[in-house]
Amino acid sequence: MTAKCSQFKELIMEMVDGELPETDILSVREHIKSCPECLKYEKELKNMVKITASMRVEAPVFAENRIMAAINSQKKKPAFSMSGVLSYASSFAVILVVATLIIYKPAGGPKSDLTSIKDAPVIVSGKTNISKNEKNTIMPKIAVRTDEKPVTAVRIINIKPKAPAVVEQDVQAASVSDNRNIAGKADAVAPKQDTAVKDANYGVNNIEQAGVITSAKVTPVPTVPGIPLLNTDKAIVANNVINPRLNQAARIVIQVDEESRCVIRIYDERVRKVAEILDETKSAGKYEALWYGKNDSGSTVAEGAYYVYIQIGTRVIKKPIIVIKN
Amino acid sequence: MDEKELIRRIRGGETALFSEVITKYKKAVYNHAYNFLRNKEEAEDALQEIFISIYNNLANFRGDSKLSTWIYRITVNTCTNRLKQLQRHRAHTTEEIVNEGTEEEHSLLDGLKEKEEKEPDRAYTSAQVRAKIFERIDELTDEQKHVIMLRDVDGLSYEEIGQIMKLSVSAVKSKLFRARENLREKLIKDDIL
Repeated sequence: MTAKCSQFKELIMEMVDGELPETDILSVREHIKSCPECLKYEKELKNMVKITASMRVEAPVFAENRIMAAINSQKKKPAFSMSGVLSYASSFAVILVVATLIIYKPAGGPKSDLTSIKDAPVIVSGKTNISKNEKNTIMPKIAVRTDEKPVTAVRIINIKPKAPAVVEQDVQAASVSDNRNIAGKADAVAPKQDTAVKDANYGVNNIEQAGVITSAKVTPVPTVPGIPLLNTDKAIVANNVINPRLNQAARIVIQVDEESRCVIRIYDERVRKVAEILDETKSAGKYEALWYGKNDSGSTVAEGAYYVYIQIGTRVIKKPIIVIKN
Repeated sequence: MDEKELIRRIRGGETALFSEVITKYKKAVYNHAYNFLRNKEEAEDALQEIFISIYNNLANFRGDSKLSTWIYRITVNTCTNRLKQLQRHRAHTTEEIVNEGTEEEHSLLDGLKEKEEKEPDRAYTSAQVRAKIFERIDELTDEQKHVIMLRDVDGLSYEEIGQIMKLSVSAVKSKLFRARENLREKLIKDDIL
């Protein structure tokens, strides 16, 4: 490469970027024709631009919700009207109060009422008639682990809509063998639910009958205009007050109508991401996730209010989860 | 609604309209943050920090420059500061890098290079190649990374880059040229180019 070539290199770059004036392009082209080195340089540069341009990624779908929630939760606002912000804040306060009042009712029972996660039935559709005795023995009020293995963050179980029943033992095995990579476990666990065992299942409605709180009763936090809201019945958060010290888990159930990208994430009240439970495409069906109050590093989160963001396709919803440690 | 009207209404108290600003610019901001910080969680946090900063300073936006230029400037500054904080607190890791053995990696790259020569449209899609490229880009200076991303990823002109980075057009050319030369040499050594 000659000294002249060195001068041309910058011009070649400008030409590749479309920034070189028409008048100069001709002379650069002429030089390239007679100089293999500069021709090679132009080719390499074009390839490199192609490489760096391929670094584009997609932005998070529901970034607007997260950011607007963070803006609205700021204590100190800029010189804008406070009316909109106050509206969000008051809605949030009402939700917290209502959720707390409702949730403490079943959670106030004796500790012996709590059942192991091993016994926690998997939600499937279908059964509606369950005796009072069955409710006491089968339906847990709050999912609790009793084994000594490290508490895992979550599990996902694909709940097939027409599955007749669930083998309780299989569910136990599935529950305790989960690891944090719950999304990847979903399909592996699902087939176990196909084996029938009488009375081991209940529908979503039955969860409410059994006294487990679903946040479907709670008015959802307002979301940003323009972002389609997910129907509350497509995303239910049961046991939304949990005590990680008692190995309690929040149960998140989603109904996927058609194959969609599904995202379940936990955020703290300052809208910082705490845990990513699921982010993958799921086929139609019901899915359940259990969140044991752990962050992505596996540590137990601090006491306080958290949000679970649920996205199915392009629709999103957020629901509160309260973590207590007393 | 044009941007001036949008900003006027947000300033007037219609806070919810700010989501339109986010929708319009989130891809550009996230792209820059992700490629600069090379970590999904950090990029998401940066995205939030940047838009909160934009919202909080909207009252100070005089409209001398385009809104996009102003947003990019905040993005560049926030990403630079955030990376410094990250580097102070922990070793900067590249989440997408796959730790392959050197020999294995080279043979893999050779294979890909041959394949990509035959199928130019599918070039540079391999995760390993991308990881290596990311690694090499990470070795550039912050300023070099910014100019390359603003030009190649965001497709901005030299003039726009100059406004964002407060540089003259000739300085942008010079910095971009040096950045690309630096990167080109590294990629040639890696047998990617």
